[in-house]
Amino acid sequence: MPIQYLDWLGQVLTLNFGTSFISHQRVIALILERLPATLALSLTALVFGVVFGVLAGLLPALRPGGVTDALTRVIAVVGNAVPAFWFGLLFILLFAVDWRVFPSGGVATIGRTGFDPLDRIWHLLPPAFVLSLHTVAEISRFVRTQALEVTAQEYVRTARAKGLPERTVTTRHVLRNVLMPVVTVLGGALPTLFGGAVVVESVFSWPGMGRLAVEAAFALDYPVLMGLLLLLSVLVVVGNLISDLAYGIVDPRIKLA
Amino acid sequence: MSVRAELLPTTAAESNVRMRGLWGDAASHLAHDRLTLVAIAIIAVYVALALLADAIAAMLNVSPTRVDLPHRFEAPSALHLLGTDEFGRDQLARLLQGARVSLGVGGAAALVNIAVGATLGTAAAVYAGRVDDAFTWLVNTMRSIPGLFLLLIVATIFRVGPAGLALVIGLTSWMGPSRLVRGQALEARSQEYVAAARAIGATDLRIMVRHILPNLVPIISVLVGIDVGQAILRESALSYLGLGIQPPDSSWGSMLTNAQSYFSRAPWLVIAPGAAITLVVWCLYAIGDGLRDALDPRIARRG
Repeated sequence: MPIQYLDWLGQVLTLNFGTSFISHQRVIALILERLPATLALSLTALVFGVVFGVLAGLLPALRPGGVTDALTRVIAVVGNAVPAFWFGLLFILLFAVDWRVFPSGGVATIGRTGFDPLDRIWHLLPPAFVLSLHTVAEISRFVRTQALEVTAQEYVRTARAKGLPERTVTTRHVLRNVLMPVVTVLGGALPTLFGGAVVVESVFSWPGMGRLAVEAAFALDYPVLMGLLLLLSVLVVVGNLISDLAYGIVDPRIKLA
Repeated sequence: MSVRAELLPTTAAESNVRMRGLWGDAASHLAHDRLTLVAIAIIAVYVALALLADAIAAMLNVSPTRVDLPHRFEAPSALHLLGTDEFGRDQLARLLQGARVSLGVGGAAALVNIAVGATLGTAAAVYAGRVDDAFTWLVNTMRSIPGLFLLLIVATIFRVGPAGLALVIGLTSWMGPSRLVRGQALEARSQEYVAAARAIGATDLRIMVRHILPNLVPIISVLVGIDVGQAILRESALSYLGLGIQPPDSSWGSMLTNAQSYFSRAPWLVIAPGAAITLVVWCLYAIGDGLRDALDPRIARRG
């Protein structure tokens, strides 16, 4: 067993992950085929997470105690407590089965030939939105604390004292300083997104790495599972590195050792 | 910090008084925190329902396993309060049975992950040096693996029952708690009374148990609420995928596995289990938050 593992490690160095027990295709080919779908889904969800998370965290912090404050706190709490797959099921039930505004799954309308960007995006939005829920909750909570801290800073008071309009104070002084640390949270959001993708891809029949993992798990296809685990971990580490480096760029006070 | 320094010559008796003070404060704070009280009450109801699942099912004359094919997909009625599923089994009875599995697995998994996390976190803080380096390395490595993936793979390889599933969930999710515990333990370790204990020759174990552990009780009790919630979510996700709880057992997650194929016929089958999960997890989080506020003396004094 340990020898087998060392063998496997040695092979991985040359990017040879072995062949699938089931389809006898090369593991690396299987994974690369699924990679774009998962990246598209996760990155779109990340964008949703940042946009909605910052909005939901910032707006109430500017007017604490208001209706938006209460509303976003409910969103943050519910976003953490709802199982992603159930939220996805409800989404499909409401928007795909009852109202028929969104498709219930897949990457493109069945039977349509050729590449139709609009159709693709229409299929991408629901799973990305569902996947982003936890990230939205996480980022909004973080932004809210951060915004409350920043608005209490001296330079914000100075800016107001100078007679700057409230909008300028918000965009130039508050927003900038709130957004900087969000960059570090993004790196941490990746494992959550990839993990969540396993479930969300199954709900929306999205042909990504998460579905591949579930299929491989049912078939006890170890080479595929090992390859997926390793590649995703590498992606997470790279994502963390990028977000750390990015933080050094947006905040000149941070010096990389 | 300087306030604590003035309290330095604390005898054992006095420190006991202070402990009671903390929990006394916490209890009086909680008594005014309606949201947390409601959440505690709901959890109590859940636990009672899970324990009495069989009795309630018998009382209503329904069974979670009795197959009744002529009465599949029946809408909620007086006979079947929450309708019937694709085999004509009573949904309410299955929900109650599922509560037993979901709460049991969630609770046990949280116990495992807190036991492991607290032990490793405390050890890392107390022994410092190489042990701490090794701990940090292990935590960072485990954290870079997407949690659900790791869980999925381990659960697949070791094809486990409910007890094994709880163990696996606990052993793949202790990293977050352990980091919090380590931080708290490091803070406690830097206190003067620990230096004093060390100076009079107390052993590492004694310092850990007598001087550091009491400081960790508040953070661990807060973690329990949040951890049980997360463990329930993880279990339900895994069971939804069909890789967690296996038939004939069922949990809230596995009740939703085939939900998509009978959306339009029986939407109530989709709504009930998910709502049960959401409510219980939300209550656990609320209790965690409430405990945190109650156990933080800075907030307690204000209230």
